[in-house]
Amino acid sequence: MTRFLLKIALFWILLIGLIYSAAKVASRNAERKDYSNYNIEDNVIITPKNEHFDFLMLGLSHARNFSRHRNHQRVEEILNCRFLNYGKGGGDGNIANQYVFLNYFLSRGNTTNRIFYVLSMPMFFAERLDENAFTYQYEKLDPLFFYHVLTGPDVNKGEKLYTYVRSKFDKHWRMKYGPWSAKISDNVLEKFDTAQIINGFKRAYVNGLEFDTFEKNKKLMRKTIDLAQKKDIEVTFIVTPSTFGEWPGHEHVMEFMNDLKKEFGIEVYDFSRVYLHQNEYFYDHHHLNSDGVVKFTKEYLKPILNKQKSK
Amino acid sequence: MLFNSLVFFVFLIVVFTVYWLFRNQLKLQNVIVLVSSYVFYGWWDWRFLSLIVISSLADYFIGIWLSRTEEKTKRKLLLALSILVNIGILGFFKYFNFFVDSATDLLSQFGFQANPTSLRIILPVGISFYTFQTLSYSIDIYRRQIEPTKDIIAFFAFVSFFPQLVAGPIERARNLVPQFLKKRTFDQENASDGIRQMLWGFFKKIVIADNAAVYANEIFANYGDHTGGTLLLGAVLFGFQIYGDFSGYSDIAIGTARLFGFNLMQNFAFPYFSRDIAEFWRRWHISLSTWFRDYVYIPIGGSRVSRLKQIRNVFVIFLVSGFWHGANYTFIAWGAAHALLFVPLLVFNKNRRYTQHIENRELLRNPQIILKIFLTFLLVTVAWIFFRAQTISEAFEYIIKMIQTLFESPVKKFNISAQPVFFAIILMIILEWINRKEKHGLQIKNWPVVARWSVYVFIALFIFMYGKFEQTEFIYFAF
Repeated sequence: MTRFLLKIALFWILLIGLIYSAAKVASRNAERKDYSNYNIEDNVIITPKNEHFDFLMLGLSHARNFSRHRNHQRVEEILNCRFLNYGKGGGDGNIANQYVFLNYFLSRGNTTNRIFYVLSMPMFFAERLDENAFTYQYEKLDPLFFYHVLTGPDVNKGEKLYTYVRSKFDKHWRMKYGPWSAKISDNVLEKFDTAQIINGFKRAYVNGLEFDTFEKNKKLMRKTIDLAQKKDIEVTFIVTPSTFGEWPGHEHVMEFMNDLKKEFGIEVYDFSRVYLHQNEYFYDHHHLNSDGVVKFTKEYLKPILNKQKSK
Repeated sequence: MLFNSLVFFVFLIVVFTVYWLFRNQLKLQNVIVLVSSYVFYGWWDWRFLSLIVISSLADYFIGIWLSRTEEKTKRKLLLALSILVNIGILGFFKYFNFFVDSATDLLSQFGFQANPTSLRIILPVGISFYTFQTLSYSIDIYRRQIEPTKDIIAFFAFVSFFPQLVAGPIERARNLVPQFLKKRTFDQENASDGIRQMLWGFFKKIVIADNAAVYANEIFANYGDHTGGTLLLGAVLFGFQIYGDFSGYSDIAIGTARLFGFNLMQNFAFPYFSRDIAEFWRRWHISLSTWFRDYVYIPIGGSRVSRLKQIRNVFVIFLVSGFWHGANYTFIAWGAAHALLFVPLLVFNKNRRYTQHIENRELLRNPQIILKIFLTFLLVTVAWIFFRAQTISEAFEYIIKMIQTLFESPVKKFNISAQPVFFAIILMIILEWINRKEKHGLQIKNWPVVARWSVYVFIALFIFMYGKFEQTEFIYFAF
């Protein structure tokens, strides 16, 4: 029996060692390229060690837009500060993985004063976002990050970890030796189209508003704030503008935000309606384009930051 | 619980550890097998455990009563009761709606409009397998081929033994029950080969079957849009899908059982290397074909009757076998197609030509064997179209279109030769050909250690890189 078990163990060690080494090599090759928050959608690769940032941005694509298309530098210039953006677009983001990224950021000895958490309503209600097995597929391989996912609050962890490692053998890693860079439009929305908005809602909420998922994600959001506050990080929630105003589920989330205000003393800003029907600031009905990001940063983000800094 | 899931992996480690901790306590080991089997099955839907319990209880007591009575009529009645319980459960859960729908269709043909009660019946996983297994126990006792066991735990564990509970092999009581009654020792050689067999099974299921399914599903779903070459490719890929899926499951099941000191029967003996249809049926789903042979074919006369009756018996066996696979006329048509392919061999007394393995020297002497293998594979592939299609008319349309447009250029190109599944199929054919006299394709224990381990690691890496882990169910769970 002992010999049998030893052979099995040896087999697994050999296999895992081989997989890990190969994945590590693929990841190392990616590191050789000059990737930064503005030209890559991945977070592990751009997370430094022992550095300080004025703020951290979390959320889904609505957060990520503050870095895409070199917006990152524009925002840093306007705000005259340094920030790191962990927002994840393309259906890869959810509250659990934002928690994992925050935890990873802190465990690498980094610090920050505040978090701007950009709220996208589907992140609370769409279970498929939480279950997405491909959420970490473009992240470079790092045992510390693996550990954080393993011990973190993600659902469907086995598949996520498997995809995380296996993706290093996929074409884009093997052939280009680099992570994926999103090709996101930065045009101007041509016309306000109600049918398209309704279709968008349907795509975002395939099963309607899932209140079981909402309850789970409320707990996770509390856990995120708790983690931040333990490190003296101030958390501010922001709802970015859209052409149509509020998303379905908006009132439930804002109600929850009011509870959080009382529980944790956090700040919440709702800018859903500030650019209603102003197509020129959007590339679709709810994502700010570069002009929109610049305008929003100047008009709303800067005053918030200044106010908080002057406290 | 699916074999290709993380939860099974954890389950296996836990059960294996606990099981061998009590290596000297046979009864406790049987309890562990029973409890873990029920957990394994209940993971899918615990409510249907009651059916296994009913089937087990019925056959346990019927077995004992059968052994206590010599009265012929009483014995027949007891056997009928066992058949009624098992076929009753199977018939209700699997065939109720089929018969109701068929009767409604038939009545409407004669102008009667019936409004039958349609029930939303869930097909319990593995029902066709364990009902046949328990039925064989009662029949064997009735025939006085085995003695009933009084050990209720051992019997219940035999019925629900988790490695083969949901998709076979359909074990015979005479093979498996005695294994529950005698002390089991850990055999390093057997367990190691069990692991090899499991690895091979996972490769066939996760890499070959699940990847081939992607293309086969796409082609079958849109068969009207494709030309003959693509349709043939779809059928060939389905052939590999179902082989990889089902024989893969059997390999995992047999390999898992070996880890616990049990030896299950071989269920597949490299059927795609068969030289004719008769040989194919001696190599494909052996546990089911031999079940039908022993409990249906021989009792109705088998081959010891007139030629005409032999032909009738062949049709009966193939039609019943087809129907066993599912409550749809397509499965019956599939069985009929195989019967039609088998009958000429029977008529010309050629159905037992190939009972031995192909020797290398024989192949060199007689290279047309390759052609025979290829032709048999082609016939089996065409028959699979009935198995895979939704309706019989769809199957015919598929075949007709495939033949009519065989040489037309494809509308949509599937560059299959560039896909990992193509390479995996080639690898499977090579390894299974090399090991065609063995019990599974990875029985390479006599190879030099470096070569052997390189193959293991390579296959495991292949599974890791190209396997589909989206928890796809095994096709045969549906039967």
